[in-house]
Amino acid sequence: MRAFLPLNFGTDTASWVAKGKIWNTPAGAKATRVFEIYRYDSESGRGPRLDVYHIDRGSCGPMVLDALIKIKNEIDPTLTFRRSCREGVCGSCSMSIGGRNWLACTQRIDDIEGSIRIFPLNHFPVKKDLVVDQRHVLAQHQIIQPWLKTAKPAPEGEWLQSPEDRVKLDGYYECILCFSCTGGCPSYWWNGDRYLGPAVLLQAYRWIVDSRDEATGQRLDTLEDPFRLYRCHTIMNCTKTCPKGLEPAKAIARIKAMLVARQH
Amino acid sequence: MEDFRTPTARARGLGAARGGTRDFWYQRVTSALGVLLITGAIIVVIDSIGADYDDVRALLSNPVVVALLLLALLNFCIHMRIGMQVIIEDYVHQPMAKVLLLIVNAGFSTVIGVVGAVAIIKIAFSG
Ligand code: SF4
Ligand code: FES
Repeated sequence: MRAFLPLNFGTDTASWVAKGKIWNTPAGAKATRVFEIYRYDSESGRGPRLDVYHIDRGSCGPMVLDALIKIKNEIDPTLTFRRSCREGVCGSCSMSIGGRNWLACTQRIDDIEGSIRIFPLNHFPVKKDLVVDQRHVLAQHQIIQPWLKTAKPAPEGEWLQSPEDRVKLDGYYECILCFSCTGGCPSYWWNGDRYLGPAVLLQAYRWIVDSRDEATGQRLDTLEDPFRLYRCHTIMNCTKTCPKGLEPAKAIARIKAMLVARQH
Repeated sequence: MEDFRTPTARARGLGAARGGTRDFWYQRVTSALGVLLITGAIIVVIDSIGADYDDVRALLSNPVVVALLLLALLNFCIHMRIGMQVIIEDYVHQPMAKVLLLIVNAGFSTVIGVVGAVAIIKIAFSG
């Protein structure tokens, strides 16, 4: 096997993660937790490293994001990450925590055993530490035109929708575009340049099923493509890694079913 | 070479091909039919274990049996062509190599299908 497989599957040696700095245990701490955090600066010319931080659990909030903020405030101000709402609604703080993409602000420290490994969201190019470049996936999101499209001019009041039709949006409108699912999708890793990925497809479905929208067919046209849509091989990582408990795989299956339905 | 295209231009790429649904559907249909057809074909094969050429020829003179074997083969070849095409498109990104492999794949499935069909028909009509 060794003869066929190059070390680390032949990845660029510059991307190998080296051992980083070990920050000392805070004095007087009773219970500590160990965080191993990926550090990298795309402008430094140096490769990534894994820094080790010891956190006084007693003086830290319950979530992983609390620990990150504590590190930044009290130990190492150079640690870079995104966050805003700190309650699971803005989608900024998604990252790979203990091997799974999740929101740092909704992941309890105590639910993870042993040292807690934090990496940037899988697959996306890293800008600095836990901040990734999402320009491509956001441009992909624009392709599906995530807004209500109607030929008819807007009514005086609101667009009406029956309670039954409103329920069809449940499980889809809640998406916060954290891209945990997209970063966790192997098909997106191989073909993300053309495959739209689970988050964008779930968003597409949210507008396709909206009874108020008049561009359903046009939306399906935009998706009907061997790469944009059909690269989904129902691997289901998306559903497992959605911190909002949504099911992108189900949304994608429904889009495929609609495309089949309009053929017959 | 530096790529100065905007993220939008890159994401839109060549646009939607307006295709893929037929292959997706055929792959599902051939999976479901395959269970039935291949089971039937296996039963025919098991039934012919130890039989001599004349027995098999007699069995294949039955049009239902010939049709079953031919349909199983056709179903299998379509399924194989689509399945392998998906794998090639997933993993082969060099354009020339991809096109070449897609042609080889389609050719291979066709040749297997035709050779198999001729062989079955030959036995069936040899009596
Ligand atoms: S579907 Fe879930 S994991 Fe994917 S972007 Fe939306 S909220 Fe995040
Ligand atoms: S900070 Fe907003 S989702 Fe975590």
